[in-house]
Amino acid sequence: MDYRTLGLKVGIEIHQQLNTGKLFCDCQTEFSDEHHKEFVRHLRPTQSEMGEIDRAALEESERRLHFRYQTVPYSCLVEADEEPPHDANRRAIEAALEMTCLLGMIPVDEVHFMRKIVIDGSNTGGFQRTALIATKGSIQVGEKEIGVSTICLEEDAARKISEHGSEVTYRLDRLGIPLIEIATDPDISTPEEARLVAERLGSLLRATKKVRRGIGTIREDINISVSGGSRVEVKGAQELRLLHVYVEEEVKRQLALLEVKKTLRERGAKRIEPEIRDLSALFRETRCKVVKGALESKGRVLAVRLPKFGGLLGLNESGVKRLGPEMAAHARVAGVKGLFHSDELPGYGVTVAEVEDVTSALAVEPGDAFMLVSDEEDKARAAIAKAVERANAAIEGVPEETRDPLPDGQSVYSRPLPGKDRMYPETDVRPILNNEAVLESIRLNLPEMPEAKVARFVNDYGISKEQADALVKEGYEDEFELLASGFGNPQVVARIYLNTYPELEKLGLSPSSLSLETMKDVLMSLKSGSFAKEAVPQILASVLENGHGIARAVETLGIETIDMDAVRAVCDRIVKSREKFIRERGENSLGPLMGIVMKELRGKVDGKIISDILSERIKQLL
Amino acid sequence: MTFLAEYTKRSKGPVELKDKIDGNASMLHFYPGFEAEHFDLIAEKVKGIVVAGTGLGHVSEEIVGSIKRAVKNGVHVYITTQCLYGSVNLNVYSTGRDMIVAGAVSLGDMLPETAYVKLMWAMGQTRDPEEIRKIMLTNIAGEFTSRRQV
Repeated sequence: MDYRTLGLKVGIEIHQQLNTGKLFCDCQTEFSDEHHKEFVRHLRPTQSEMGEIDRAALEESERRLHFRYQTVPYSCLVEADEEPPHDANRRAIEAALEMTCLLGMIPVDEVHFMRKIVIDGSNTGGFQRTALIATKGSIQVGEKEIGVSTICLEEDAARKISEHGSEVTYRLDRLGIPLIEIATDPDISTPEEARLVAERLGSLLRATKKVRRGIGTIREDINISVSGGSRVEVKGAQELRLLHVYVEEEVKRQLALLEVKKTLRERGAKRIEPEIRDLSALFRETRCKVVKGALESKGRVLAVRLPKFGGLLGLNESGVKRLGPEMAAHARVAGVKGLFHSDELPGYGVTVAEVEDVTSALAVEPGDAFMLVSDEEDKARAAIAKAVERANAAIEGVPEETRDPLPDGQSVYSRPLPGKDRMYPETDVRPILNNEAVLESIRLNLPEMPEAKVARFVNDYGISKEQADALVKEGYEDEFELLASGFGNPQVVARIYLNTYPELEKLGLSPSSLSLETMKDVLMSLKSGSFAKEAVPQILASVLENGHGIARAVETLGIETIDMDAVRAVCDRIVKSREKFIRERGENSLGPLMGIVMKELRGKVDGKIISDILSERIKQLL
Repeated sequence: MTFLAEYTKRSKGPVELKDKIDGNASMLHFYPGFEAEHFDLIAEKVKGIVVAGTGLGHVSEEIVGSIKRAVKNGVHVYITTQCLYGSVNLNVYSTGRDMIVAGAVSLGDMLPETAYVKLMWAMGQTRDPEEIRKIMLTNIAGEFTSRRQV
């Protein structure tokens, strides 16, 4: 795809958790598997200073949810929003200022915290505190300069545990952990560039050593648009590896929707004023489980005709989803589980006869579409209204919206893009003056830049530049340095992270869950000769699969060291049996012979030792 | 035996007795109608005042003026709250911020009586206002907490 002709514009926002302690209180930042007390709240949208109610907040409030908050033994009243915030954490502010310097940005003179209205319940107070720290910087990615518009410091939201009906449960352990938010300008013009920018910002953040590590500690919001499309924000992506996929998929989606718009205009489609019909009677004998279930619990089947929308709801020729899933996501805001549309029917147990009945009842003409919603009448009506609203928006093109990322690289509608009316001043926190002395001391103590680290790794540990680069880019630099300096064997350590990890991932395991302690054990055992480096992938796979410790994994796999005499014996035997081959090939026979011996001894002896013995024997023979 | 609260373990080094106390301090309980003149009269006689303010530690605007005059004359003014649970927080309302500007120092959730005794002891250790402030804001024996559990 030629992204330049498509006018692709991407900007990303990185949210990175800091390890400086919580932003407005002194609670621990560890996550807890168990909870303590609970309290329940309802949240309502409030007007901003300008007297407006934010559209995203309003839609959220229409869901009529209530929120159950689980405290952990170390939750405090600030987290419950029962006590005013304490002074902002100085160390967190200093970490943000450090990034300010690393990105060549201009710090603000005074840091003023604001309240950003968020009423999905993820903050106990109904708002998230956020402060602008710096503006106007840039980073270099390859040949290109990407503008960095702002650095903000925010508090992280509570952790969502579950959602049942109208109740959402959150746990307070994550609430209030400081987040640095770095937003780039929309200068990124290809999916690949988006990934490079995220990698670069990630390695700069890690360079400060003031960030938390591990899954979920860094999250990205991606703003994407193509020309003729609209700004769409895919919010909260955690997998850096999928970043470019989210961009690619969103481009496809916007192009498909622009195609839909074109077709609708050609057909002369007009705003739909929905005439909702109750067709419950037609489905009395239905075999469709969804509809049957709804009717049994006193629900109704409501249907509406969508003039001139025929064939635009299902997949397009290239298999890209179109209006159907979008309308369904909007319908779900009203509390229904989903909807059926004519492009996917008959199907899901709805028969051809039933489709024909609906078609004639609604007077559907060729080129029209229809949709069905089965649920309690009020909910179903509201859902149809929402879905029709979304269908109408398709005539205008691609609506601006916030979408949730899915694990397969796709995304799903979550809410309208928030407006500018959702900020108002946080009056409980005093403004903080950025004085020159603090900035000067930060400037004098800047951390080692990623490039310098790569050069040092090559120099000090004798690994290749490519390896060093990859370690820093993929975020294994701290682990590598700790293990390589503690246990030696830098090549082995680098290969574990750069080769073994991807192999394990291919097997469907998640090596990122291996603890540093496990890796220390592996290297310690390796050093003491419990097994050879060739056995490391096997052992790590076993640890991940069975949850054993290293010693147990070695035992289960039956890996044992073998004494050198036995190794020599195997080599002698192989050399003897292949004598003719060796005489024919001379010293070139080493490679093939290595293969045979390694197969027999794999995991028990280091390859280097075998190669030494073999070449010695071959020389003797010749 | 299990301890339900944090406690200070017995120190290993030699123990030194610091029992000097300067009793020239007063504890003032703020209430609506409290006369600034009364505050001023007491402030003329003492070296340190512990104020027990309302909820977040507030006093009336008139008393903010008295605090300003007292601090100017070298009196140490510390703020506590009349509430048994919860903490002083002078950042929330403008009166509180005015109190900070006037030179009052918040003592968080330290009880007024504790603060009163601690202030007399601190004034017995040093005459330097900065040192006294440091002592008052250092948690010596669990006299205040930074967290209030849910």
